[in-house]
Amino acid sequence: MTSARKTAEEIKAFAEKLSHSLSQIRQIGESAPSTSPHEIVLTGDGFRLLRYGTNPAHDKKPAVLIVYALVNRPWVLDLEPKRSMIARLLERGMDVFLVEWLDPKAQARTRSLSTYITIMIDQCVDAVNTARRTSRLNLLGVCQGGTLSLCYAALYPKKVKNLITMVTPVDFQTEDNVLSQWVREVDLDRLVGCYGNVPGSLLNTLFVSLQPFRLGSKKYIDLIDLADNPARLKTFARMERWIADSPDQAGTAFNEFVGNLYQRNALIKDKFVVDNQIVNLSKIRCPVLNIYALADHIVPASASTALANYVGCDDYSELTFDGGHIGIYVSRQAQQKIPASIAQWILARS
Amino acid sequence: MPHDPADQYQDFLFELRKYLQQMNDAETEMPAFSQLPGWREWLKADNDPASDFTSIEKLKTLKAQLLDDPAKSEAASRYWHAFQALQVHWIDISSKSWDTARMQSIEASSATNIRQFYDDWIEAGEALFRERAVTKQYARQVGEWINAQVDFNLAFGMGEVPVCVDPRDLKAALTEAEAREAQLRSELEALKSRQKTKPARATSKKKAPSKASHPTNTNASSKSGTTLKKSRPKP
Repeated sequence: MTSARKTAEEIKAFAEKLSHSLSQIRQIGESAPSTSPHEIVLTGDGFRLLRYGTNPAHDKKPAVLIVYALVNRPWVLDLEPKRSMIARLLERGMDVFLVEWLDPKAQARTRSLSTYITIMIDQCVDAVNTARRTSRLNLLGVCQGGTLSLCYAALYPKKVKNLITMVTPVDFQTEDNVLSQWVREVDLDRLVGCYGNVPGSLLNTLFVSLQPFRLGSKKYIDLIDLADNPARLKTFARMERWIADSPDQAGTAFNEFVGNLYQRNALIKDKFVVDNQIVNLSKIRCPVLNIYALADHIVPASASTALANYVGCDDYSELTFDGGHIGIYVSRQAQQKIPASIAQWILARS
Repeated sequence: MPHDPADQYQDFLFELRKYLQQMNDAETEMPAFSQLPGWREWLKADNDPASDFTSIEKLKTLKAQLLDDPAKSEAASRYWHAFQALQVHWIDISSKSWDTARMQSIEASSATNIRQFYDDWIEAGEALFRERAVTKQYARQVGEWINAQVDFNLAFGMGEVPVCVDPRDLKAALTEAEAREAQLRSELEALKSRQKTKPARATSKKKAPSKASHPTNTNASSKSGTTLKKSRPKP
């Protein structure tokens, strides 16, 4: 056989394998996330507060309130039984609550970050404390939700017992922050004027554009490795669904977040104003655990580690994860390491 | 000329990329795949008149609109320039990434099969893209691309052009608000000091209630407090 023909046959076999795996994932179709049992504790304007687990004794366990980002859906934290940070926290003896942001309606375009932080999160914190007859809780902020949680902890220090931030941007203008550099000159007033609530699809495109080769092509080729493995194909389909499922953003809050933080880096300059109050991170005196991913292409590690320079607490710890922004939620390595470390850290301070 | 498998790999991967692009664009029965980055994604927002670009039939209508309306024509021109500026980078990165993968395949013999060749190409592409993405020029051009897209949509009647406020007007409004706040504060202090004297007056017999002790003033005090909060200028 000639070399050219041998190569042609190799390509043919490769194409057939790819076609096989693509046809399998077509058959799987949309895979719904496997949601852990939960109840709705509170429903407010633009949010719901969920409580996970069915253990009647969960009042006796430390409460963790998870505040997720506005820009994605939180169900990545509960993707499927074996890839669920929430399930792992429950297994480790935590009483897990989650703020679930609801899609902003057209009239919510003027909803501000102040509303998210000082009304919505605050109502959730109060509801958790009321349900458990406590005055303070453990707050776990994820990604953008971490930034919101930092603001909350600075403004309401008496209500937060321990603070955990996960892949959270604090210094928004470190040199390796590609997203920050890209949006620096975007005219946000016109953008929000044009769209009202900023379409999630636009943000999704921007996020995928950060790694165009890997996210736009490689993962589909890697499907070959998942052929004839229905469980992993389902995981893939769920992840794809999550990635594409970006909610719209309330226009004013988006303008404030990108403008004040990505464009002006106001949080670390003590110039970030929420509800007419300057957010001063040095007012955070409670213990802080800062978790970040070393290969994070959306929130570079440098953006997160800056937190150490600004919080006012003596008990500050960091936990690194050798992976990326998505892997820290769902990878096997993360499932083994992150929830266990969070639970251990909280229990040591309860 | 000796046979180079990289030629065949590259030809195949070109076609494969096209296929994946079509698969993403076609909204097939596949799960909701995240979209490949492309200019059309910016045009897919709800009620986006610019999505007419994706239809050949409607392109004629669009062309007529552009010819009749200088503002639309200018916005479209700005958008295409912004897009083309980025496209120059993408073509350059794409070309260099293939070169790098081929060099590795030929010189280092790293690519012994199509999968390895493909992985080498992806790694090369991401590395080149990372270098380019953090340059000020590329970042500025992404910003211009987004701004041009927004202007394009606004020109076609989507959304509202925000009212531009003259900074001098803002400063004047701020000065006025500060003066009003100072005035309200002094009025509040005056009311508070009058209220402090209220119990003493209440003990005096047969004395007609003064204005200061009238409930209306309590309300006035409360209103002043509310007004103060609202009138406080946002930094």
